[in-house]
Amino acid sequence: MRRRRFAALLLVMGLVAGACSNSNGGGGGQEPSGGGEKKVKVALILPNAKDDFTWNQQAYEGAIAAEKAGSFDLDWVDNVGQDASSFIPVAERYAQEGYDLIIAHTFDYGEPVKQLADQYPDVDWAWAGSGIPDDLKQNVAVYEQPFYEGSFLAGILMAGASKTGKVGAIAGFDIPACHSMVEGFHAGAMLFNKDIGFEATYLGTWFDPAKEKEAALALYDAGVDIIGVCGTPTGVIEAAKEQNKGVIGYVNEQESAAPQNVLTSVAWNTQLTFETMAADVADGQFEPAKSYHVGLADGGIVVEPNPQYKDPIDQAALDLYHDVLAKVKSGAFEPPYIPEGSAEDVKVTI
Amino acid sequence: MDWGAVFGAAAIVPWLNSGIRLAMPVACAAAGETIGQRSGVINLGLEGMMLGGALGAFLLSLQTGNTWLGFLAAPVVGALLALLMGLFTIKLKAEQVVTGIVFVLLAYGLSSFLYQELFEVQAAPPHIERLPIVKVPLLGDIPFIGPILFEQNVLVYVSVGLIALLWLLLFRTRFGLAVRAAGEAPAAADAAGVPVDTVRMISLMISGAMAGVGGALLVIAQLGFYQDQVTAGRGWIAIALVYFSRWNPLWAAGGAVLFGVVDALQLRIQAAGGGFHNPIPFEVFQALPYLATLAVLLFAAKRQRRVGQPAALGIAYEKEATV
Repeated sequence: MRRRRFAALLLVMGLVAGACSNSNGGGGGQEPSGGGEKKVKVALILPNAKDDFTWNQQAYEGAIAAEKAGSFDLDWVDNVGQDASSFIPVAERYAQEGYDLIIAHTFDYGEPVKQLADQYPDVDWAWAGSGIPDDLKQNVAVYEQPFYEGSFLAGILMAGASKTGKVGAIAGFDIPACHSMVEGFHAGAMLFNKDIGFEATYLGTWFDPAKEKEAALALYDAGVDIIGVCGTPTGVIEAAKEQNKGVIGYVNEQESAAPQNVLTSVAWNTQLTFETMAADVADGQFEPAKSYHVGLADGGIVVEPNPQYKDPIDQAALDLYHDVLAKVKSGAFEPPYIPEGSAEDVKVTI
Repeated sequence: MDWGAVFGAAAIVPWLNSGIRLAMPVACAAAGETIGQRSGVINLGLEGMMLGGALGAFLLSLQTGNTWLGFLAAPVVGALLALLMGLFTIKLKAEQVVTGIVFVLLAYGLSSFLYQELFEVQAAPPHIERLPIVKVPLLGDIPFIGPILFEQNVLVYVSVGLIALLWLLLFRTRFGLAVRAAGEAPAAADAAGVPVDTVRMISLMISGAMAGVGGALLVIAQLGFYQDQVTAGRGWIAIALVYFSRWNPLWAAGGAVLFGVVDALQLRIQAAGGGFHNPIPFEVFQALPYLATLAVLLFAAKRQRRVGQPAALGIAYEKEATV
């Protein structure tokens, strides 16, 4: 009997090993093409599936586009998991294989990255954090996600397109990146209409489309008619289509998912962010550690009104949108960053 | 905070409807898990079987253009995964908890891999036709109760029927008696002529099939599309409900409904300004469904005198060695 059990365990372990190695990096991993000048070798490590219609997908598509444009050589891996114990062996493999820049695409990878940066000082590391932590290493950079800049612009459009005078947002967790994005929608909407109603729901999960849909239906029932998102938007977009209400795309341009209902998207140009970092690696400018803030002014965040949206957007709101965008690009104005508290307590003047 | 927007006459129907939608996938999985555990097998692979059912139903619906046909794939995929698991835990006597966790990992990896192989990375997920919401004649016209209970997605009625059938099977049939005997005293059951391993395998497959149905509810009743890890941990909640409901499928399903209704409530409180304009941290709202379900089921368990846990739960049955 004992031998039988051992056999069973072996079989099960084999099954799992098979499943895991298959799920990672299905199409990536081409060898760098020979000839020409030596390109920076970039490895992108994604915590979840590359086709998640949100965070991971945007990074995957941005990195692939950068590779196609010839900006760097790329290998990627997805579905690694959020935890350090899954991340470290994958990252170490890239470090040992001589990759120049390893991009760790979730806030959760921050601690293991700092640890590995000491172990592999010749490799440059970048992770999706915010600000510059005190204990940042020489060879670790932070690339920020200035979604709050885009959500401020989107908020203006939301207030200009709302028919109920009430807009809202759904976020995965109350972390600074999401809180500031939610309050960005709020502050932008208030800039156009100071009496606008605003409600926000924090879900406590990043990936649960069915629950996101229920949260969206609850907001629509409460009189909100346009919802901004910080998390996974597919369930919210589904609710918007079903109820013929408005929604804001998150990270990716999601207009095509519901052309009548997606008012705009707070799109993140990860290609530009990754290319900026890779160029610094090539020029030897990456170290010492810094924070990359590729935002609205540089084209790192893009917000454009969708002309096919079901309702007209108030012309005054469109004018304000263009005005604010121009001022951000010229450096005359910075959208408010509100990582905690309410936009109602923040005075914004342009 | 506008409480009328949450508890007002016009708000209660959409709230409870939302609660039922949130509840049914978990209710199916929990009721199924009860049968499996009653026979003595812990199916910790439940989350994986839900995911398998969701993906199977989605793929067959998309392929055939017929969502009803696609729905049938859900119990089949769930039961097949359970059969595979049973080969390890029942036939080869492998450790049930470890095998269960392995099966969840297997399902996460396989479903992700399959979906990525079949579909390009694209801007929006491919959609299938959802099954319709059906208003039951006469009953649907009852004021207040009608729109809550009798104006649901057709799969909600199917699920409720299946859960009721499970209860009948477990407590009103010879097979159910054999299931409970296999879970309480397998050696005695064996001596009485009950084929313990076969009964356990069938029970495990029923739990897999019900988990598959639960997963399919998400995709073909609610969303109309599939997304990586769409079940989002519901299988684990279902397993917890089985323990708190003291191994009664109706109580387990009831616990799921309570959980769903309170979850819908907290979303609606947040949407009506309760989460946003007051100092209560939003984590309190997220914890509400867990707290409420725990409280009610613990209270119920306390009133019940017997513990209810099958005595041979998690222990593989091995016949006495014949020398």
